[in-house]
Amino acid sequence: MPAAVTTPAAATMAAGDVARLRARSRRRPRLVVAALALALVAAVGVRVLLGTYTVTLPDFVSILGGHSIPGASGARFIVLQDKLPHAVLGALAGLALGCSGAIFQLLLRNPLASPDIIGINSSASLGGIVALAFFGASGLGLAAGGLAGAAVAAVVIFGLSVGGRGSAGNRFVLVGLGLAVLAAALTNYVLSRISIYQASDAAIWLTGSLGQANWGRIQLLGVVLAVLLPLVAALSRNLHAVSVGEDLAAGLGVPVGATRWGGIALAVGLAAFAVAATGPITFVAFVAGPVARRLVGGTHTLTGAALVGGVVVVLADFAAGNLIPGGRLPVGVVTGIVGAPVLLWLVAAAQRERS
Amino acid sequence: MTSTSISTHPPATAQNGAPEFAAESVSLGYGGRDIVKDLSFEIPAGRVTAIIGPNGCGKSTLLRGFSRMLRPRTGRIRLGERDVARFGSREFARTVGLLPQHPVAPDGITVADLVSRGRYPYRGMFSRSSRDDDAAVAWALEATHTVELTQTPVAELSGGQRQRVWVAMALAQETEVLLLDEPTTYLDLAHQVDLLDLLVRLNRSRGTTMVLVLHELNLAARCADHLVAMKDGRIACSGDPREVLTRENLSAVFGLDASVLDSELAAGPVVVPSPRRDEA
Repeated sequence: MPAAVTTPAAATMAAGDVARLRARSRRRPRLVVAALALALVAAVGVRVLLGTYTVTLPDFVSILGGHSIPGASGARFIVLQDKLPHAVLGALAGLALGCSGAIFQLLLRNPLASPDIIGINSSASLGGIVALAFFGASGLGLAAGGLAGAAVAAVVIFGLSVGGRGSAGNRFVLVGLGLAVLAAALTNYVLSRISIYQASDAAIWLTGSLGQANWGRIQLLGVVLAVLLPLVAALSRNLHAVSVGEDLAAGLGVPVGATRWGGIALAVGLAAFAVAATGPITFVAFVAGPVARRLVGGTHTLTGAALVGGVVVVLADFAAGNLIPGGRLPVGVVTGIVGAPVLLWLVAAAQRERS
Repeated sequence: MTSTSISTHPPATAQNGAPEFAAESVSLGYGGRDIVKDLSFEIPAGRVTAIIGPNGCGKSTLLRGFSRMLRPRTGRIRLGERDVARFGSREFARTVGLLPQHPVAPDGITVADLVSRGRYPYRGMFSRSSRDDDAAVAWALEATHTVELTQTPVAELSGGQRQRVWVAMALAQETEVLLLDEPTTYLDLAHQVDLLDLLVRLNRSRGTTMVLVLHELNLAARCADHLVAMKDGRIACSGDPREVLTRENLSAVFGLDASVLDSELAAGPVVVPSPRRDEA
């Protein structure tokens, strides 16, 4: 009986080793999430204090404290009714979009399965435009229209892609792409049927814009996030558990169906309310997840993705206001311009890693 | 007795009477079509059973039935005295482990992380990993000789390493029954033998009931105590590999013209397809 006494040292492992490994593998994600949270605060600070109308930090604090600035009576209005709402609404919309995209990508195991690609956002836009154009809706009504559009889209996509065997993720993306084209066509149709004034307002909303930011929208989106994000946190372990594949997950005792539908419902809700508040800001939901994954060193992180989304939207909005002298671009234009190359870089980097 | 490092960890579940798995006139299928038809058989507890048969005969479908992925249309599948449908999902997952055919690891996941996913059925909603979890993961890594790989991303592993890691995940689940659907596909012969020997060792040391769907007949004969040959959704024959792998059965089940040698070298039957006849 050889090797009865000694097993090679390298081949043994104790529970303590596993615990140590686990602690080590958590360290970087935690640091990255903390850094991203700070980055989001910093981005909001930059957006509020700098730019075409700069505000000093002491002035900002005293404005927040309810005082006016002597010698600059407009400052209070600009900060409270323009700069701060832009920054806060941008941050909230970014958090919602980033988180929504990462849930879809995790659940469907496909980086292309983000709400802006598979037609959730464009269907939410269609719902919003219909509510805006035919019912004169705004605020809550617009959100309801967006939510209805997104929910219908999700049900249609899932109805057509779940069931049968094989890669549901791929089918989902293909069906979603088709739906996105359909929703865009219908949106254009609606735009062609309404007055030119309505249409120009709608067009700005459709590019994704924080121009209409106000405290009412912030309140609505803030409440939605306060309800949905804790639910995402509660579901997060199961969402990650399902990412080993639905068969294997079911074999591990994960409630696969409930997790899938719960995750979809949360992701649709997050995307739809963000779209209702700001219009479909492109590429944020798509890019946030992969960028966050690279930052934490490979694994999916919903918190990280949400924070990346927030940082991206706030910084893009800052750029949108300051890139062109005297002008102001809709934030969606900037995220599109920046997001597309990031997508290409991600694809290229992934290819290089694989080879 | 003392030679294997495998028997070190599991004190709790090492039991002498694993529950017996049985199908009772079970029909299984997708859409309107039955793939497994009115099939009854018992899986010997604590043994290694290999299911063989031609492509499309219903092997994998049967395994999906045993693992509750697919609900029987008629009949029932029982584990011990209970219908498997009566088990809670966690309870079932602590008793029966499944390794599906082509598992795909989540992006960026490391070996240690993947293997610890096997502990899902033991964790509470918000509770952290316990010492038991860590011990099970450590044992699973050790048993599959993947300790050196713990911090490697699964995507960077070779096919043989990857398959061992998936087995490690299933082991970390600490189940009394393990169902494996073609665990050796895409592996070269050496790695196939390696993996199957690992499974047999686990069976011998822990009494884990193993059920494998296998394509390679000689390897099935090599590792299995019990062979089940399926054809057209039914069991064509079953029993000791020597009884099942005969010239007549191979012809009837696979339509294969082959001789069966009883080789002392292989310590079991060896299937040798008849020489090819070049037709002029």
